[in-house]
Amino acid sequence: MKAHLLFPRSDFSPTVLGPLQVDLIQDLELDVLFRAMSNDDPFLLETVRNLLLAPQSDLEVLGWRQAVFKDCLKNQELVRQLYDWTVQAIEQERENYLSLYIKHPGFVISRSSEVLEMFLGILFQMRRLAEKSVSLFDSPGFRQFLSLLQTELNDDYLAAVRGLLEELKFPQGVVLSAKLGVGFKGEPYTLSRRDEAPQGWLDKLKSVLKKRPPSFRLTIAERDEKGARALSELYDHGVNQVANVLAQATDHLLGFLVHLRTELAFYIAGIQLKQKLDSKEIPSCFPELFSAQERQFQVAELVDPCLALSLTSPAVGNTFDGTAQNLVIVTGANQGGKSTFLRSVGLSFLMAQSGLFVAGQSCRLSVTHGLFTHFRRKEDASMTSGKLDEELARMNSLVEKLGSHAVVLFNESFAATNEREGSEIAAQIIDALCERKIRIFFVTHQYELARRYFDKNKPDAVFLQAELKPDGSRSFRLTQGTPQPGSHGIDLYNEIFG
Amino acid sequence: FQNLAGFCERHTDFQDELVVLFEREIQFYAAYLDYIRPLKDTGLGFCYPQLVTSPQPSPERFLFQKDAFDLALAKKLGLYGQAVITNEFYLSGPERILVVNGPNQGGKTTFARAFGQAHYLGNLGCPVPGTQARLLFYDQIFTHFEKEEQLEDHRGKLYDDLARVHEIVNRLTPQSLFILNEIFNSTTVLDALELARRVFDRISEVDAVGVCVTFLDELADFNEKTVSMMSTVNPEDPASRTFKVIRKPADGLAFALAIAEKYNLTYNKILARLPS
Repeated sequence: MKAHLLFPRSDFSPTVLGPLQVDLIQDLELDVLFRAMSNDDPFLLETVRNLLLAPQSDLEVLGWRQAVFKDCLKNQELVRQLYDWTVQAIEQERENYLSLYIKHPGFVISRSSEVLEMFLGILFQMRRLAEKSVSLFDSPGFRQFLSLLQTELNDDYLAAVRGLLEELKFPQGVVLSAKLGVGFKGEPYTLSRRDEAPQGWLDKLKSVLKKRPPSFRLTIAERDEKGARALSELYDHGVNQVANVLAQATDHLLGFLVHLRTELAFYIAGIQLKQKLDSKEIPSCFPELFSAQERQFQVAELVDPCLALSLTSPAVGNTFDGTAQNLVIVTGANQGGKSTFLRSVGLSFLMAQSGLFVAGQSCRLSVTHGLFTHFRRKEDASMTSGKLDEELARMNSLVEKLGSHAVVLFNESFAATNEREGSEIAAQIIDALCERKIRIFFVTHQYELARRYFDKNKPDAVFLQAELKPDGSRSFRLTQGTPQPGSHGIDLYNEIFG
Repeated sequence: FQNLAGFCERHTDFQDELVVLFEREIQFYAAYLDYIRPLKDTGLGFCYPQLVTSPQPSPERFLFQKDAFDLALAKKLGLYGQAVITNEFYLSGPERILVVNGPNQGGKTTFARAFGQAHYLGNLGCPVPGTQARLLFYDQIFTHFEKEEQLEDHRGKLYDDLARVHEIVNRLTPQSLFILNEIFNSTTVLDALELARRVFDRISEVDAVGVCVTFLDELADFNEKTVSMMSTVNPEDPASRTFKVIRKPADGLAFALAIAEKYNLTYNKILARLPS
């Protein structure tokens, strides 16, 4: 029994983060996003991190998730209630588990029974919620989940389990059957009741508990310690099978609850982010998604959500149609919003491809088959020797992971050398990647590089500039146009040399 | 004891002036010789340079230095037991300006420093690094090396650069020496080239002698007064430097491509790595 809120037919399992993903987190400052979404709850944070860093390119999965998310936004309290119940169940199970010292089957049975009772209580509540609110949910994901709760956890099932749990308390003791074996020792001691062939774990239990009429009686004297111990060992032996099956049962339900918790956690985090954006009137929208081949990229008023959340005045958004463009070169004044643009692009891909909304007024995106960043690191500002080597080494390992329809974001790359060399190195890389249908966004202050492509009149290249207003201040908006050298060298010369 | 004290007081300047003067001045010589002795011991050559006041209009080398090196660097390398690479330069005929190109960290600035040091110390009368040298007896020496950007300086690095160069150009005479290290690199290549050309025009007019380290290889063949020199790389491992600076035409981007090649990031290499 699985919830399937994230994938229509499979489960989510987190993968280990590789070094390129660590780069991604650093360059796009994803920790800020993670914290904003999770409100610093460690479980939410980890879930969000795992999901955002596993972007999906399957449009069916993304459609599935978007629908589920829309349902969550519509029914925020119900979803929260479901989530809280899973957390409660898991917490209580953990406490129970921690109190277990001895692994005697007898103990295992009583402990598992407790946990199972507790789980069932919660699942029953969930089922009731599902019954009441099935009409409030439209997404196939939720509908599937809610009907699952109703069918799997129907009244008959619950009653049967409750009954069994009662039996397993063994109010009248247990019935063990045995045969005489080698050396007149009794073996194997098994709880008897073998009617039908066992099917589900429920039936297995039933079969094991079949009753037979007792024949002889032996009472252990009160102070007979050894006897008592021997008896309890017999007991443990006999109920061992039952204990195992019971443990399996609780684990099975625990697994269901854990998965459900993770899946709900992701949407809860998404809700939290939406609430934050809404409270600051930062626009958000569900992106229209297309296959990678269609090379769609159209955004209106796109912002970097983390930056937007941290500002007191409204963030400046960017509107841009880059459909069918392979190369976007961004130049212009320092501190003019270039890196912010790059980050907003990166975040829009990651968020869109995990099924979430995007921070903008509208968005049409083709999915990528991999998002990568290559940023100049802040500590490289000293431009000491070896920095170019470091950048190239990083680029080299990036190329290892690239495939077609990937997107690479470059921020001031290969500038740790003179402009001429840097431009040549960058051009080699850009040309090759474009040839292999990889989309590139390249922020650079190297006018040579920008100019080179501009003069070539490359049809699939777009040039954006960080706007500088006439009074010299920045608008933080990027506009399309000719790359400007951005310096006034000759004017200064004339001023000084006369 | 009063007599004794009185005696001391009356004869505080008992020392012979000459002896005192000698004692002080000899320190200069002794200190310098002490400084260079360990370098001499490792086999590096020192010599007394010939000094000329202005370039002779003759085809032979009027200014040169053989087996030169940067003193400060040599000292440092000596501490680690590392070898010192020596270089040479010469100017003949109409040549006045050494334009030094080449990859970063290849020894260009070191070369410029060595040139400056040799002249400075030579003009003081000291023996200079090298086995043979004929240097300029300059009236003024000017240097322009990159400075940290001053945060309070709102006008920016380019303004600063231009102001300093302007100062230098105004005071140059045909007997002056200048060393410019990476000027105008705080602006675009296009602008830097134009600015550098204008500055070279002025310097060329004055006929001063000097070194200009730059990545703008177009400057190398500015006119008949400029000499192109390059820091070189190992032909077998193009990404490693030899620290040899030699007279040769600027070959532009050989280094950039070489280092891209080393990391398999040239156009062709990447295409090969990413199948379509």
